[in-house]
Amino acid sequence: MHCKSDRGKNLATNGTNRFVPFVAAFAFSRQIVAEQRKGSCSSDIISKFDPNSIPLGSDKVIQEWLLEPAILEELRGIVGAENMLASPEELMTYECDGLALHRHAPDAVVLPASHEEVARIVEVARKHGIPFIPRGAGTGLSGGALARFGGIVIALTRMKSIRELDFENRQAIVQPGVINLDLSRAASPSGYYFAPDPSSQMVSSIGGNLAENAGGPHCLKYGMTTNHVVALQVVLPSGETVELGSRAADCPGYDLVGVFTGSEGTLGVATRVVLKLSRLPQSAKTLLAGFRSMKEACDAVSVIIARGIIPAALEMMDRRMVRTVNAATHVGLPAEADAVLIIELDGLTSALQVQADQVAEICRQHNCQELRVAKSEEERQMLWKGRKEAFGTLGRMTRDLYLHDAVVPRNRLSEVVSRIYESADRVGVPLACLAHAGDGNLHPILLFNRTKDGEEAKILDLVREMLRICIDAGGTLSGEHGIGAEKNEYMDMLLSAADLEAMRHVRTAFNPDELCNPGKILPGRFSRFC
Amino acid sequence: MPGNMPEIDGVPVEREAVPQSVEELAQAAKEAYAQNLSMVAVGGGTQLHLGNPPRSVRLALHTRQLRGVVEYEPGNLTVSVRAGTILQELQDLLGRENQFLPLDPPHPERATIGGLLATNASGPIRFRYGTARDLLLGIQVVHADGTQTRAGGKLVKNVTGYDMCKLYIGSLGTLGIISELTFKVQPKSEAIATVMLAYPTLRAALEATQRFLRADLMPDALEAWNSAAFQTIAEGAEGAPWALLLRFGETDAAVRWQLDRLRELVSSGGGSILNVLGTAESEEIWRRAASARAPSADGADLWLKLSALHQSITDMERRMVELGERLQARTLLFCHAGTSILYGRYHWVQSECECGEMARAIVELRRQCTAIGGHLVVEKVRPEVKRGLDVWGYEAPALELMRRVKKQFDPKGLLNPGRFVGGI
Repeated sequence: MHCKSDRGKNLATNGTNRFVPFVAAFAFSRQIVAEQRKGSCSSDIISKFDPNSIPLGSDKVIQEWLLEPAILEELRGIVGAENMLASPEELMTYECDGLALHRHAPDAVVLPASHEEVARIVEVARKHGIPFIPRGAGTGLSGGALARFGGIVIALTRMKSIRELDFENRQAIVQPGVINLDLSRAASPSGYYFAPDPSSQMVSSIGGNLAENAGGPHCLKYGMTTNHVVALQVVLPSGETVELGSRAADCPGYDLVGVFTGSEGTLGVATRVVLKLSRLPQSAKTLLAGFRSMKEACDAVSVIIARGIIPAALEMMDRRMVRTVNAATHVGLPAEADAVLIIELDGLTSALQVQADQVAEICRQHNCQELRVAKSEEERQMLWKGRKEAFGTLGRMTRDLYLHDAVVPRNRLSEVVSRIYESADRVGVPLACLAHAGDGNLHPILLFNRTKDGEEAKILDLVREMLRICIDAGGTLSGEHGIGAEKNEYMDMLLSAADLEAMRHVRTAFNPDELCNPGKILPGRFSRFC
Repeated sequence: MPGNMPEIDGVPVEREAVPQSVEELAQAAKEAYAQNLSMVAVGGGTQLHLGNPPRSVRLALHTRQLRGVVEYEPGNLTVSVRAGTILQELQDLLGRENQFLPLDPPHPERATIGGLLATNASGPIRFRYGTARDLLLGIQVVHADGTQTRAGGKLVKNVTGYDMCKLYIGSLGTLGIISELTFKVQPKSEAIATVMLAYPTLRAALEATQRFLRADLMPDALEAWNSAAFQTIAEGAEGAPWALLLRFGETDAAVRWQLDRLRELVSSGGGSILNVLGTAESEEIWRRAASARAPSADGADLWLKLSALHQSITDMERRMVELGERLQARTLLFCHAGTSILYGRYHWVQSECECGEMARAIVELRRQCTAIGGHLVVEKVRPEVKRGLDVWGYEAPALELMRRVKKQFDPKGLLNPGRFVGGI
C-alpha cells in the first residue's frame, strides 16, 4: 500500500486496494491537468466535493492515481489494448460528464464489447478493491459518471447493438450503448418508437437514460424512462450476473428493475435492457402561444390539465430565453412575450382538432397575445426549433452556463420562477428559464464566468437558495437530471436521516463495498471514500 | 375490539391491533419489534389468500382505521391518501372532479389502497394506464422497528435518490407497512364504449387484437375470456367460445372513430360483434369484469395467474385447459390480451380435488411455463395444497439479491415472514 493522501488511507482500509501513487510524467500533460483544475477547482466549492483536490497556486506536485501495471495488464487482456485508455491525455476526456463543474480523471477507461467483458472487468475491480464507474455517452448533468475517487471507468459506448425488436410484445432488447434516437429510428418504420426523449436523445445512450431515469418534453404524457423499462441483465458489484424482471409481465418478487432504474450507476452495470416500445401516435398538433405574463402562461397550463387534456408536451420559455433565441436564430418567437408556451397534443386525429380548439381558447382566455398553430410537419418543426436550440443560444452570451434542474407542483411554477428571479437579481446573476411546465419541472440556467473571482461561490450559494425555494413550495431536488455528485450534499435539505438510511439499505444490498460508482446520491458521510 | 381473524392460510392469528393513527401503528410495530413478534399488515382482506402460508402471525396490524384523503389537488392531478382508505371511496371523491385513479383491481368496495399497493393488484385497464408503478408518486412506510420513512413526493417527476416507491409496490408487506400514498390521477374520458366480439379460439381473438392495434385503435382494455368466464358478466353468451372485450375511452369523436374503424376491421378480418355498449353501461360492465376473476365467496377454488410472451399464450391456454380437465374442474379463463396475462379460475361443483394431485398438476404446468420464460403464480388455493408447493415459483439468481434487500430492511425477519418469494 503506497497511498499518500487521506483518500488513499480510506481506500486502504479494506486491505485489497492496489492503488499506487503516480507523479505525472509529462510536464505538458501536467500543465493541462493544472489548467483544467484552474477552471474547475478554483474555489472551496469544489474542494467540498473532492477534499483532495489540489489547491490552486500551490507548489504541490500534481499527483494522480494510477493502477498498478499488472492490473492494467489484466484489463487490457479483457478488452484488448485498443479498447483501453490509461494515459493522462486520453483520460482527460473522461474527467467529467455533462456537468463540467466537477472534474476528476479516472485511472483507466475500458470499453468492453460484451456482457462477458463487463463481468470480467467488474471482477478485476472487485478483486483489487478499485472503484469502477459505468458510463454511457457522458451527457449526464449531475456528475453521475464522474470518477470522484479515480478508478476504472467502464464506458459502454461500444455495446450498441439492437438485439431484437418484438412488435407483437411491443418490446425492444438492446445493449446499453444504443443511442436513444437510434432505437426509435429502427422501430419507426414499423410504427413504433421509444417514448422517453431527453434533449440529449441524439447522443445519449439507453444505459445512461436508464441510470438517470431520464425524462424529456414528452414525459408529461408518456412517463419517464422507468415507465418503459421491462427487464435488465445486470452485472452486480459482486461480479454476479442477474436477470432483473422478465419479459413476461409481473415478474414475482421485488421490483428490482424499478429500483435499478434511476440508481445512477451505483447498483451495478446493466448489460442488456428490455424496453417497452410505444405505438407512434396517429398525428400530432402543435401550438405556440406568447403570453404577457408568466403567471398567465402558468395559469393556462393548469387550466388545460384541469380540463382533462393531457398534452404530449407543454414547454415554457421565459422572456430572457425568448429574446436570446430571437437574437440568435430566425425562429421569430413572439418578441414581447413574457413567457412562451409550446403545446403539443398527440393521439387520434379525430380527437385532436377539438382538443386543439379547447387549448387555443384557454390560451386566449389567459390573454395570450399571439397564437400559432402548425399546419404542416415543417411548421411543427419550426415551432419546436426555438425550444430545441434555446440552451445552445445561451452559450453565445456567456462563458459558463449552469443548467439547473428542479421541480415543483405545477400550480406553483410561476410563483417559484419569480422568487428565483428575485434571488438571482439580488446577487446579480443573470439567468434564463426553460420549463417542462406541464410537469412543474424547471430549468433555471445561470449565466456566469467562472474565471472571475468569487463567481462560482456565488453560483453555488444561489443554487442552494433556489433549491430551498423549490422545497418550500413542495418541490424536490431533481426532476430528471439526478443527484450524482452535484446534489448529494443537499439531500439532507429534503430527506430525514431515516429516509436516507433506507436508501443506504438499498445500496448496501446491491453494492456493499461501495466500489460501484462511489460518492454519488447519498451525502458524503454515507461514503467510506469521502 | 380488533377484527375477527382466526387464521391466515391455516396459521392462527395470535393477536390483532387496529391502530387509529400512523403514530399508533409505529408504536405497535416498535413494541412488537422489541419482543420479536412477527407482524402481518392487513388492509381490506381481499387478497389475504396471496402468498405462502406465513411462518407465524403473532400480531395482525389492521390498517383500516388509517383512512381518508390527506390532500387532493385536482389541478395538479395528484392525491395523497392514508393506506387504509377504501379504493371505491377514493374513486367517488375523485369522480366529483371528473378524475379517477386508473387502477381497477377486484373488489374496489372493500380493497384498501395500501393493500392493493402491497399486492400490486391491477385490472383490465392496465393496458392503457399501466400498474401501480406507473401511478405512485410518493409513499410513507412504517418499518419493522417502528421507524417511519417517506420517499418520493407529490411531484410527477422526481429523481431524488433511489426510487423507493418501486421497492414497496408488490412487496407484500415484507419490507415495511405502507401508511400513506400519493398518486398521479387521470381525467376521466369524455366518452367510453365497450365492444364485445365473439371468436372461435383464443388464437383468433389474439390475432384480432394485434390487427386492431396496428390499425391505430387505442383501447383502454383488451380482454379475451372463454365462454365460462364471459358468462359471469354477460347473459346469453353461450354461443361464443371466446369473447373479446374492448373498452375505448376518449373524446366523443375519437370513440366514434374507433368504433367505425373496428367495424370495418371486423367485417374484413373475421370475428363477429356481439354487443356495443355506451358510457353508462360500459362503466357497469367493467366494474363487474374487474371482480369476475376473483369472486369473494369461493372457498374451494384454485386461482392461477400465468404470464408469458404473446407468442406462447395460446399454447399456455391449452395447457391450462388440460389442467382443468385433469383435475375435473370447471375452467374459467380470463386473458389480459394486451399484456399476455392469463388468469385461470378452477371451480369444483361437487367433490374437492385431492391435494397432492393438484400440487403435482400445478408444478407440471409451471415447469412448462417457466421453460418458455413465463411465470405461474398460485393466487389462491387451500392451505393444505400450499404446503406442498411454492405459490410464487420464482427461483432466479435475483432471488439472492432480494434476500439481501429483505435483510437490510427487516433483519429480524418479522414482517409477514415466509409469505413472499423464496420464503422471504
